[in-house]
Amino acid sequence: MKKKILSVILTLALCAGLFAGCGAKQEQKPAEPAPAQTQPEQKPAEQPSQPEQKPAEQPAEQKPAESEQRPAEQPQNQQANEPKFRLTKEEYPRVDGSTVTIPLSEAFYSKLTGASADEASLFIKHNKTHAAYVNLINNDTDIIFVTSPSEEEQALAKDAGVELEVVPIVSEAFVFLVSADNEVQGLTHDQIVGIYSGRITNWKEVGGKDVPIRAFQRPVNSGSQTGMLDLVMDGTPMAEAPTELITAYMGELIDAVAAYNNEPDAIGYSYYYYVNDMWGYNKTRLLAIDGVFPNNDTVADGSYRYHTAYYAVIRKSEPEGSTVRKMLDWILSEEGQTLVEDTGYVRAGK
Amino acid sequence: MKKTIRLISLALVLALLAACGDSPAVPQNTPQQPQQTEQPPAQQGTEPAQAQQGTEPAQTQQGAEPVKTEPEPPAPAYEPQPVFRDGILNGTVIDEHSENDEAYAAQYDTYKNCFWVTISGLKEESVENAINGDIMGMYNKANRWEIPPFRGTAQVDPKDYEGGSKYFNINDCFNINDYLSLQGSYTIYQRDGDYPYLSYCDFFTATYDLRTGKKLALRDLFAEGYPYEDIINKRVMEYLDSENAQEEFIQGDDEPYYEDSYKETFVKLVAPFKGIREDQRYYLTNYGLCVVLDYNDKAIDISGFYITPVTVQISYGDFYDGLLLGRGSDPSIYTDASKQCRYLMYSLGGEEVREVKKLYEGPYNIDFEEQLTYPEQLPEELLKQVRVKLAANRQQLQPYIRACEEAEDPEDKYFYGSNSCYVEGVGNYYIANFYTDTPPLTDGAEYTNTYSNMIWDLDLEPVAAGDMFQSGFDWQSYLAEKFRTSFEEQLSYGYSCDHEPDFRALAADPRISISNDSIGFRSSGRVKMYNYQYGYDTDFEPYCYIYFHDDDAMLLNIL
Repeated sequence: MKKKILSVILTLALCAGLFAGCGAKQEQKPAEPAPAQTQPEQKPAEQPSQPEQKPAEQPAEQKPAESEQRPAEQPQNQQANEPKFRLTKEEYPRVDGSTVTIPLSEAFYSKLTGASADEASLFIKHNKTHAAYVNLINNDTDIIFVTSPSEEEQALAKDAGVELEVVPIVSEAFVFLVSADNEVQGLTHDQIVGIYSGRITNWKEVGGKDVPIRAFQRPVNSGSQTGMLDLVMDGTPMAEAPTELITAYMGELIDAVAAYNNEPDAIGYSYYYYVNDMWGYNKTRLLAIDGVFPNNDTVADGSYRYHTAYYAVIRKSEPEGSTVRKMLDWILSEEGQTLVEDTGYVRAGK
Repeated sequence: MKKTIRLISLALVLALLAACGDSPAVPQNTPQQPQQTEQPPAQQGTEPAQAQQGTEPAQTQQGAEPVKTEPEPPAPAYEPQPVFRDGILNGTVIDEHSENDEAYAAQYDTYKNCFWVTISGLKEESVENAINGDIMGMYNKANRWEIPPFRGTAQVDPKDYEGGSKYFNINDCFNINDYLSLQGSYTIYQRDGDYPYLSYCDFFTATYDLRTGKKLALRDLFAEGYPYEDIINKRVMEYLDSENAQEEFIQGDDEPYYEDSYKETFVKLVAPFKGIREDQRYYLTNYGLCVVLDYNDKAIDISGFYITPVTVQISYGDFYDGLLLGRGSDPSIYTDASKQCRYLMYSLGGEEVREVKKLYEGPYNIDFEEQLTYPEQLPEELLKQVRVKLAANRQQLQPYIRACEEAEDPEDKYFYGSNSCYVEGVGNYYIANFYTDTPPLTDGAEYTNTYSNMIWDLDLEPVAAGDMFQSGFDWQSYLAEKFRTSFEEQLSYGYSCDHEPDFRALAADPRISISNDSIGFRSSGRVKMYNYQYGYDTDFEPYCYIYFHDDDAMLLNIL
């Protein structure tokens, strides 16, 4: 009997082993992909100093403005993407702005009037930042989407007796990029200023390899160069930029600021809006500044040091309840800000 | 019993081992076959689809030594094609047509001109008719003279363009290896206003496979799996960077021209460029693939007083062995293939590298500059030889620079000179063209310039004039006779010469030039001639060109 029991047990064990052998193989865990960029722990940063601006008084509650066009009762099956504020083409304010806000302006037009993206593209025309300010001051346009006014533009407005209302509607950031091969993950503000003033000249001084730093700049009077001077250098003179001889339109050779070349020794700068999603930038890496990595959240909440904004600017004399003010309120509403994000920008900071 | 137990135990152990171990037939962590594009020499811009990975050693039995296997060579992601260096001119006949609207011109005191082509010579009439129908479609659409849908054009009053100049052209025609590629444009000008008149332009593009009549999308030009988008996107980004397209410049006024105006351009990025579209417009030329950026590219904005699509030209060499264009021609699709002849392409690609330097850095206005331009794919050995020659030419300029410094009142004068070299690939040849230019040192004297070149074949062997002709052919006598012909032509144009040149000596070591459809020979020596109509001396270099469609082309051995 015992023998029989032992045989049965062994047989059962043998069968169990066979079944286990025929079952699923050991699960292979896929290797975790290496993160494209390592993000340092995001500490809340101190509020950096910003250029003096006088933002408009914000409405106490950012409710979407009520449109006179909206029926008194909302249909229950109102589609989620139906804007609560709507304008006809004829009502739509005259708009102008900078080059980089064109897609935003088109998105606003498309959403508010129900026009297609192609129709919006035909309608919207921006004449660049300075011309937009001039048009606003001269009452040739109603609302502009631009960077903050320069001293010259402020003076122009003052001379014309026009007071400008400058309202941030999009967050933006000034970012620094290096080659993905560069070991350095982040720099402090002091190190950035040191590099671009020429005080720091080797990557080993900031935790990298023993390689001279090639700190690329942008052309004089360009938007990026202005941003660098205003947001970063804070009055510290910049060292001479790497240059290259190029043939200008008239055929002569001129010294031009060399463009960033993404070599391992290079550092450059640009705006987050472009760098975030541009083809080819996957071979670059953004640097954290003072331990804060630039992403949509840190740009929007201002914890990334070099944050700035794009603004809607109107004449302060614009009457309360006007279409322009209603449009501005809508832009600042959750609906408007969601559209800002959907269009590829970063929503305005709180 | 004991035996039974032992057998069962052994079977149990074996079963347990089978459950815990891996199958010896399948190594652990075996990656998929990596896909890697074949890298041409010195080509940059193409990334392998995946980095090559080695295989982990297979495990047979637990505790046994791993068997190391050599990594298998990567399978190409695409089937390599013949590099597109030359082709056969199609047997189609391109007829040109033009039309000037005299009534419009008289009414508005302006111009309205149209120029287009039609094709004939295909056996398959349906294909021929379809292509000509498309061309007439372009013509008809252009003749509506509508403002093309660029940004902001809803705010443009079409009436401003009534009565303005209008032009329609078929501008480019690539007619090689049974492909036909056309690019046309129409332009409308504002009727009134200050110079420069505002104008709008739009393109038409179409590329056909003459064997099938199919209109080709961009992807149809490349072997399946070839990463052409990456190559094109890289070149587009380089173009946008060169245009400072991300930047808006601070301007003091509304005019686009101001100091340092080279920086402000009319092509702007309004959003991140994310890559070309599948339906991106393009056309082919003898120099390369031209990608069109226009109002369909929402990341781009084109502004200024001439609103037009822009093109980014990419050398065929950039695509190396990924292009399908190098297939040759099928003469059976033509009614008359007798006029078909060889056609050479500009074949070296990669980024064009330009090295410039100033040869004088002193206090005077002595502007001597040196430029070396070569394609990135140029073999390093040839680049070395080019630099040696360029340095030798530079040395010859030094006495001129010193003479400028020592001239009377140099601070009041301006001297210009140059030392340059431009390297290109045409067909199966590399050609370096050298040029020096030295200023006159005395009043009334002329600039003097020298030309020379160096040519190599694909094996990097230097090529001389004799190598261009069939073996045993008396090419020197042939060239001497051709040089005499060109000299006599010059005499007929009002020049005189006080002696009979030694044409055979002039033909001994001619300078060679190679282009798409011809080989040129120019004497390295010069003949002093005098223009008696206008009264000036000149140096004449006798020359001759052998076109590939000429009967004399059979004397060449390079075709």
